[in-house]
Amino acid sequence: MTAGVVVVVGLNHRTAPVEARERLAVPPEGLEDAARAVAALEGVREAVVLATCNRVELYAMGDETGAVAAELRRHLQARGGAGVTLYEHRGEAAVRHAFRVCASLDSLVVGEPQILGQVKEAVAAARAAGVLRGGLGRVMARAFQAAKRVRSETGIAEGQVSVASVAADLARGIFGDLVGRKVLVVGAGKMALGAARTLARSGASLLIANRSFERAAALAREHGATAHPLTDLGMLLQHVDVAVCSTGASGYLLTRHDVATAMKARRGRGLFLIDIAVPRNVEPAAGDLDSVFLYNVDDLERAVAEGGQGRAVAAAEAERVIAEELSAFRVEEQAQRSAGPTIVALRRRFQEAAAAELERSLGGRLRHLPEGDRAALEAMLDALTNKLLHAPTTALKEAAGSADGDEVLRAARSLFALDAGPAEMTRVRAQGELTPQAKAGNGR
Amino acid sequence: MLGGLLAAAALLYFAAAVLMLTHLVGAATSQAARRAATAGLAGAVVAHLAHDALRWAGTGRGPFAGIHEGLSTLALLVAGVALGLRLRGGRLETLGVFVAPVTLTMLLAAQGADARPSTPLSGALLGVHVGSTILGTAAFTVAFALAAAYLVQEREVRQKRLRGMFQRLPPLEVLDVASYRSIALGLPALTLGIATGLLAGVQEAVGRGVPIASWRHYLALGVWAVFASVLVLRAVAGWRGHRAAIGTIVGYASAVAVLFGYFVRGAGR
Repeated sequence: MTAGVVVVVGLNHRTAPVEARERLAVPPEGLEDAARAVAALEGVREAVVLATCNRVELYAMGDETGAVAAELRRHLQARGGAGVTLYEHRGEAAVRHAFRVCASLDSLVVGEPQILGQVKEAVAAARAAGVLRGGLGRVMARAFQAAKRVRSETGIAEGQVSVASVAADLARGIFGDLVGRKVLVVGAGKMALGAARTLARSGASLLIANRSFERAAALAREHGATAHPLTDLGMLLQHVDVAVCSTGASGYLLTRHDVATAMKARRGRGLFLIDIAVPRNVEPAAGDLDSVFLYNVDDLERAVAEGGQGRAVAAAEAERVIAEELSAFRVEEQAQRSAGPTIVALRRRFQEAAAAELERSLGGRLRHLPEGDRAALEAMLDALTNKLLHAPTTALKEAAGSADGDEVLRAARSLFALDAGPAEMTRVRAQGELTPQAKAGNGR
Repeated sequence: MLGGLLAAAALLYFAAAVLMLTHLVGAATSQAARRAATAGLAGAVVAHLAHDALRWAGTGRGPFAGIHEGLSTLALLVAGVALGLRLRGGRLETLGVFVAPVTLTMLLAAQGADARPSTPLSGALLGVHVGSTILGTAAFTVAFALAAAYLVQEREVRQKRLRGMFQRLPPLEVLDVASYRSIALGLPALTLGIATGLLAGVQEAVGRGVPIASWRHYLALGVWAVFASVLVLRAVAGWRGHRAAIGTIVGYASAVAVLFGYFVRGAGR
């Protein structure tokens, strides 16, 4: 198997509006299937699907980068991305993109902490789907490491203006004092609860409505709120001042008509709707109603980004860390590639020797063994081979990246006769040079 | 002396208006512009007050003696409210931006107004008529400033511009409620002004055999009807925010039209 090249195709807050992104949204429970579908595309060996409210990106590893990129594009376009501008990165540019995304340098709100958790969820889903292995897996592991370094070594996360604080500023700009105001959280999203908690700290009271009333009740207990079933939404809207929506509903939870009906009952009192769900929960036209102020995730994050322009220095520092990590990854990959054939040959050598000895024993002294015992013996030999090879494999990978890497690799090939042809190997095996214990065992 | 004070007041009102506008729309909050605007407004109010007091002493005509004095008193009253808000601090202080140009216009218009007594009313009744009309118009001027600020702030929120003016203007609901209260204060005062004006009409009609109500009365009733509608619709049909602000601005525009009528047609019938 060749090393393969990473390709990423996607869209984000810069290239596509929320209307386009919501068409391609993937709920968290759908990430495994989405990754499987991408891995099934022609030429794709590994895949990860990252879907957040700000981006939908397909990461894939394959051999023919051009063909893989075209497949990924077709895949996104067929799933609602027709007419949407898609970006594409290949090879090292794709790796760099993954690093920057994880480190929150590609986020609308640079330095926001949620993205790393979202990538980790995407990677876990791909792993669970069995479509993430050593190649793309190494890229993602290194991206997490880079993100960790960026957070700990730069001030990118300091003085973070959050979506929650912007939402609270807005509420104060609309209502003034928030004491005694009512804030409704629809759904159970972390960001929505965070925004609502910030408003509650200013004196507002909280109401939580969720499709699962039990979940709403549990959250209400935790946050000192009152719980309501989602079916009461229309009634609740008549009484609250702020509603923060973040459900996973695929259609509009609140249409313009719903909000207009509530506004009639409110006798014109102002209503601040915060829709941080993707796909959106509130029909955009509701924001045109008199005394209704509707903000979606893009609006809020843009406001947050404007408030965080002072972090440019930290962002530049973070880019330097990313460049260092990328360079280290490049060296590792090179080492991986140069050590790769030796490791593969060594593993094959051990496995062939073990298989040959097993076959000889099972055909001779151990002929009487039942099928179950034979399988157990085979598994035991596999485990033993893996255990014996673990230390030399690690040592070879490490040595390959060092100055005397070539010498170590040559020594390994010579010690284990990895460059020997089939005829020579038959002679070696016959002499039992590689398996003295097996030979002794058979001869007893 | 009087001319110098008037010129100083006019110049300072103008400078304060420009400085307040700079502070409101500036990308960064300039505390120097803010302080200079307050100082300019305070200086203008002092010069204006001194001018009116000296004129009173010189002519013997009090603050509500006629259109000339009444208009100047109205301008002074409105500027005093704006100055009070600025000295109190908080986001309501930005209202001066909307008030100062109106004040300046009134002050200058007062100089062109007919100084002769405008109605057959005299003594205490004339004072009540002019005073209540001035008080009502001053309240409507403040309501207008609040409504204008509401529309600007609403546009900022709707266009998602959360820096600059959004941070310096008062919250929407504060503007809406304050505007409502100003109208609620101004409407009874205007009602009294119109009633005393109609009384003058009755006196004139009886004495000269002319109709009781003149074009001024009809216009004043029109202004009254607009502001009364804003209050009634708010209570009955939930007219708040944008619609109430538009209604207030329309009402104030008609009030200005009535005042303008005085200059075009003269103070008489």
